[in-house]
Amino acid sequence: MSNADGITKTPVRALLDIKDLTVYYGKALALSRVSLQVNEGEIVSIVGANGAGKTTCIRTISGSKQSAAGQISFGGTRIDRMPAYDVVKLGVVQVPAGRQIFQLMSVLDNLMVGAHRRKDKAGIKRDLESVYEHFPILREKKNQNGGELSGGQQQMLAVGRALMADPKILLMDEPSIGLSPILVAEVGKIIREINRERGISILLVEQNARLALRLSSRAYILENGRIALCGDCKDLIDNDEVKRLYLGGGAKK
Amino acid sequence: MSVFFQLAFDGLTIGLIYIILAAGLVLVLSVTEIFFVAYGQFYMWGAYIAWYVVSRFHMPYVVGLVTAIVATAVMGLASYLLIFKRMQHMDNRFLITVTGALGISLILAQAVLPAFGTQPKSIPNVFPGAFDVGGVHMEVKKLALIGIGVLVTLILFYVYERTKVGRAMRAVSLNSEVAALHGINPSRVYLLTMGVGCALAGLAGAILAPAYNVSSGMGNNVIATVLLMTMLGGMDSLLGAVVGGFIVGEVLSFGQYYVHQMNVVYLFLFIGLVIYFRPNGLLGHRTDLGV
Ligand SMILES: Nc1ncnc2c1ncn2[C@@H]1O[C@H](COP(=O)(O)OP(=O)(O)OP(=O)(O)O)[C@@H](O)[C@H]1O
Ligand SMILES: [Mg+2]
Repeated sequence: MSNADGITKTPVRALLDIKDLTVYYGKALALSRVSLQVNEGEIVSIVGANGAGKTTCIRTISGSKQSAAGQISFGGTRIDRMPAYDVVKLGVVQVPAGRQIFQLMSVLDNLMVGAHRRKDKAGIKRDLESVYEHFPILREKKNQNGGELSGGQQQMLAVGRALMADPKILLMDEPSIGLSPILVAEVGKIIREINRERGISILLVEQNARLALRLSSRAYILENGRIALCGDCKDLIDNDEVKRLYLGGGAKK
Repeated sequence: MSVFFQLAFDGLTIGLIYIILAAGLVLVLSVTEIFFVAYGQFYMWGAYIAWYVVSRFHMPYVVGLVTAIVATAVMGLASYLLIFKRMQHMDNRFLITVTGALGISLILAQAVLPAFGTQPKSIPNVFPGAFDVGGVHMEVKKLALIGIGVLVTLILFYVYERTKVGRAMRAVSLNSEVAALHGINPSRVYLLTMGVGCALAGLAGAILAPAYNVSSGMGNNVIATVLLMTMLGGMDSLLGAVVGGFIVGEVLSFGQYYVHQMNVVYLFLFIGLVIYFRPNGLLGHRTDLGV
């Protein structure tokens, strides 16, 4: 369960490598010396309560938010001073919190925005077809406005839009929030499929720790902007503190 | 009956000017979220530039038209690069961008006087002739204005709704942070939009020039009307701009005939009433500039 435990299993250079990341909003410290790795093909979770800094972490990786100190590298390239619109070109793609699809644009236009930086017409066409295959409802409603979709369908659209960017890693911010238990399970299944079939690495942010620990191989527990714990999920699930704080565990001794 | 069609025809002519003006302003408002009160001055400059090129250099009208479009586009790009680009990231950007726009407006309104003089101008008629169809007197210069106006509106719709650039503009107008997450550079889109928006104002001025007089007050006269009509149609709706421009043109034309001076009062009362009951305007979706 020690920090070292998680690190010994990571190869020399992780795909996504974050070192001592520190982020402020004005004068308020949001992240303090956060270090985190995601290896190629891995699903890694960040778990934490409201306001812990999960969204901040994701937004800093994707370039929406500037860091004050620390480093972020992806595939060996420093990305912490890159604007968001260039980061995405390297294959680091965020699925934003609350879906944030373009409500007044058609489903198809939403998906095509995802492919904005790509030039390979054939590849775009193939990926569109594959998104439609994964989410047939999107094909059915491709000419409807995004805002007319249900919450679950909007989540699928947000994932589909990110897939259109041909990602190497997806940064998913609370994909399960606001969804019914059945849809949460569905989202879990989708995340696994994306990871297994396409070899896309995933950094998953969740308040739903149960879902996160079940899906991922390793997890980081974020508390007040600091990494409080990290390790293999199978160990974290049995950790008393994790049980008590994040799995509603008291009852489940 | 022929009076009716005559008024409708004249209303359409004015309406098309307003449609193009409103379309450009809708783009600027919804994409850049700058409350761009200087917009009317680009219209005036477009008209003056077209007049200048045609009457001083004796160039064909088309050259004047293109020069006006290019020059106002460059002025729009410069406004963004020199003034708004930095302001847009500030916390209190609404007030500060309005202040910037007011400054631009004053400068452009004053600069026209030494540059072109205080007298109203008119381009020697480049589209002479007229038809009488069923009692309606149609001057060729107005038909030309209508033709160019419709063509430009169609092109604008096509670009905005059907091309990659238009899609990027729509995405930025809806959510610039998410647009950036998908590879769109919002600053570039803002720059482009300011260029296109101001060029549309310049174009509106340039197609007006052969049909009506060009005067130094026209920018100030038009801005309030155009702002109000974008609110009427919906400040984020191109279609709303078309509907709003059409209504305003017709109301002005019929009003001028039936109620004379009071027509503008009635028009603004009508717009006020619509906005009172439909704050988003007839076809719009938002009521603020996201600040
Ligand atoms: N735009 C912002 N401006 C100022 N402070 C912010 C901003 N966004 C977040 N914060 C602050 O930063 C801290 C971390 O917020 P963050 O949104 O990253 O938390 P989170 O873990 O994603 O929470 P949640 O589970 O509620 O989404 C909080 O204290 C929050 O108040
Ligand atoms: Mg969050």
